[in-house]
Amino acid sequence: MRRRLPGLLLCAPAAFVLGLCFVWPMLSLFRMSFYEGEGGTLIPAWSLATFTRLAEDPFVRDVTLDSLGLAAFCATMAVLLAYPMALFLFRTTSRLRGLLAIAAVMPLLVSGTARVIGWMALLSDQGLINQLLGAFGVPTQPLINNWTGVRIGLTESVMPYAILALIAGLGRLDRRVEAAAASLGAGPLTTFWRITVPMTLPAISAAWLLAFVLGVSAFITPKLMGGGRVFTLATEIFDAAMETLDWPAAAALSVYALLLLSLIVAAHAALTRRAGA
Amino acid sequence: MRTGPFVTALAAIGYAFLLAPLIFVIAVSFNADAFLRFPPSGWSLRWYAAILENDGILEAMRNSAILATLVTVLALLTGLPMAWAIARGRTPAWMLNVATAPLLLPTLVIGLGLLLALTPFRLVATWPGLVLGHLVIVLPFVVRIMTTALLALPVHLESAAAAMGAPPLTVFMRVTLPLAAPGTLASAALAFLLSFDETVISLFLVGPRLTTLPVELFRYTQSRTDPLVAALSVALIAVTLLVVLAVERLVGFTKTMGRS
Amino acid sequence: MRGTLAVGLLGLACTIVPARAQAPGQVVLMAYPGIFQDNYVDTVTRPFSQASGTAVQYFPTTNSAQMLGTLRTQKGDPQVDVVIMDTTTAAAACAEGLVEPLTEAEMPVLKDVHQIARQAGGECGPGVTFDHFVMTWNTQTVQTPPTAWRDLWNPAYRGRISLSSPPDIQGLVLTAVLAHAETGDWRNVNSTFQKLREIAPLVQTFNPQPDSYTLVLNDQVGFATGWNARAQYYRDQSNGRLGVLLPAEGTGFQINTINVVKGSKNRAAAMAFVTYALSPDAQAAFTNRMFYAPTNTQARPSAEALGRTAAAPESMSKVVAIDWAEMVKLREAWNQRWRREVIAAGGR
Repeated sequence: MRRRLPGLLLCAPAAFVLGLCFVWPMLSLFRMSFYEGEGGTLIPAWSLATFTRLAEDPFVRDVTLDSLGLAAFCATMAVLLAYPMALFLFRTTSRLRGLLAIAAVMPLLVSGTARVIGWMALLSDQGLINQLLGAFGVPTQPLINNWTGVRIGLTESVMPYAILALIAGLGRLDRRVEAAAASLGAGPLTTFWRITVPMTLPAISAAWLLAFVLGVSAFITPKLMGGGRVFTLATEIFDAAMETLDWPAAAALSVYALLLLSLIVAAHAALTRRAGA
Repeated sequence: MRTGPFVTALAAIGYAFLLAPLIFVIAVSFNADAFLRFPPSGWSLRWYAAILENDGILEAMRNSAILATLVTVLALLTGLPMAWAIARGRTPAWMLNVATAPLLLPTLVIGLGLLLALTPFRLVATWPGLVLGHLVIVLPFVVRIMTTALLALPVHLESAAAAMGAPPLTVFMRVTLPLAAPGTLASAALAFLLSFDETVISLFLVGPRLTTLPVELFRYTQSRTDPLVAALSVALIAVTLLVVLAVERLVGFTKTMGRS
Repeated sequence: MRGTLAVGLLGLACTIVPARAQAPGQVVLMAYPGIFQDNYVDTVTRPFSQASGTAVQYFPTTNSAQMLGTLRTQKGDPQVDVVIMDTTTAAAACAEGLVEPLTEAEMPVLKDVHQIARQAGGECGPGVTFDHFVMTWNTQTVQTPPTAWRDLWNPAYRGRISLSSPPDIQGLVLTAVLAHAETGDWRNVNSTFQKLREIAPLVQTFNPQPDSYTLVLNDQVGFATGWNARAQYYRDQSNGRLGVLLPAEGTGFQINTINVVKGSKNRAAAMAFVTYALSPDAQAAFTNRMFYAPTNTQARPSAEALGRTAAAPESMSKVVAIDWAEMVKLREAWNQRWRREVIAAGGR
């Protein structure tokens, strides 16, 4: 019998690193959320004061709903826009396929700040879109420094992830079924709605969840494109951590956001399983 | 089945939306004005020249390059064995979920956790601190991609070598690694870029001693008014594109990506 | 395992790769970014380095709150030697023992520092610049020159206004100045918040990016809140495109203090730098360049520059006496009211 390398030993180095840079920080965060803070000074304690303060605050509830709504909207838009792209990349035989695939995930690798600068040139009151609209006599539309701007920017920033998740899932798409439907006389649109979409539903749902989770945690886009109007859980955490220096509140909000996300992911998993069964 | 005109048209809209901000950053970067505005009153390369005269940015650039290299090497060294163990069923399957869990968490939360954890040990704004901070996203990524890449390899070659008496390490070095080289190279490139462009976690972990390029970029946007930011962004995009295209040439990057 | 070994070695290696070493005799100064940095380096830190041979590394940080955060995370192992920050934040740093108390015995130049600047720092470092709160406006696109904040309550200006909301200090001063103009007491803010709610829908942004001066210059907005010194500087840079107004409602002082960080590894050099920064020459040079009023009573900047600072009779006469110690207590409540009452009312 050949000698087997114990798998757990192979995992040890990575597990050690992840323990150091992931588990330990998460435990620190959890611990910090029970500290007491007074005007920025930290008092080590096991207190629920911070959580109580947040729970009683209607603003936290509003911010939560706004964050979830924003993420849901952007995830939906991102999947809608990404789906034809993924389908195109999956099917095309073009020599440019490689280049186009790179272009689709390129934004993923570009700093969020850089993209925001581009959006500013395009969406501001004096930006290209409003200049064009102005040329046709349309009054200036507020497209940035509000929720609209954040929705646009965030949709774009989660799109590459949606494309990747969709492409990975499209592998299940059996082209022969589509071809069969077409040969039986189904029009392209019918084939698309009755065959393609149902067969790729798991991919769509996975891509939506990924985009949603990333949308909830996005921070740079709301911060730079929201005009100080857009408060999300992520910007609240950053402000508490870096501006008002209320670390217990930042930690407690983080724990709360994590719980919320876990619940949503679990609910999604349960729904998917039921739909699959 | 060919791509119909309908799908192609919709895909084109998607592309236009997705790439619009990048295209406009490029346009703004050739601005001749002293402040960001569009369209510019004239075109010039002055902001590109300005990058080369800015010591702070050049140092941050150097730091980011060193950091990304260290992180990539460490992530591959630790991630590869784990990916192999997962792909060959040597560990329970949930290991992959555990290892990739950090990818699902908000980076902001991870960054805050790291700040809290590293502060007592005076690791904030140090190389080990930043390396750890970047590994938390790069390592899971490498494990995920490499697991997929290794799963796609023919197992029988490894079994054959083992059956002929080659020790496991030899099998890994002589058979598995050469076969997995394209995937490894692609994931190394992605790991490098992920670390090189990482902003949010770094934001919590930099300091006067040590800062990175994306953080400088973020700070610059918040404090400066000139189009140097745009020029710098374009430089970053160019670096990214070069790396990706080089890998594509060498190993067919997109194939790896399609499969992962 | 060879892998594990390699990891260990690499881990070791990355502790050895030198982070920028803090050379002895070098001072790390943490202060504001942008044009403050450019001009401060030109007129203060570079002359200091040339005269003393001590290098100064300037570490720009977005705002005072983030500076305080940095000082806190580095308590016990400071990477910064000298910090220039807003007086309210500095008071917290002083109370927490993050910065050192300074005495005239150890730093004789303190004798020449203006009384207000000394009080602003408490027993820690004194004020190093005086500035005041203004309105900036675009002189080319705004038809009627404004005279007061109340001019902005005008539907024609929808989308043309930038207000920096709290926690930015500009938002706090704006609230106080408006309250004072209306009721005579800057703390009496209830009706002011009502007024602010009315202007909120006209506001383009409550968090100008990259800053309010740029938005005015590139005509994203017509009017913005700002600080006098920066505004004066941009006015010159833009050949008068940016206008600076001291509104009829009045203004508030903003004082930056300079402090030596407790536990500084280069304490002697840090003390020498603070002494230089407070000296008449350095103060006058920075005033001439950037229109912050000097805090050293012996400083002699040009009359032209001084006339455009917070020390000018016009601005002195319009200053609302805000007690910052009290403001610190009100700050969080105001911050929350801005978010919940004002900004929430200002959809765009």
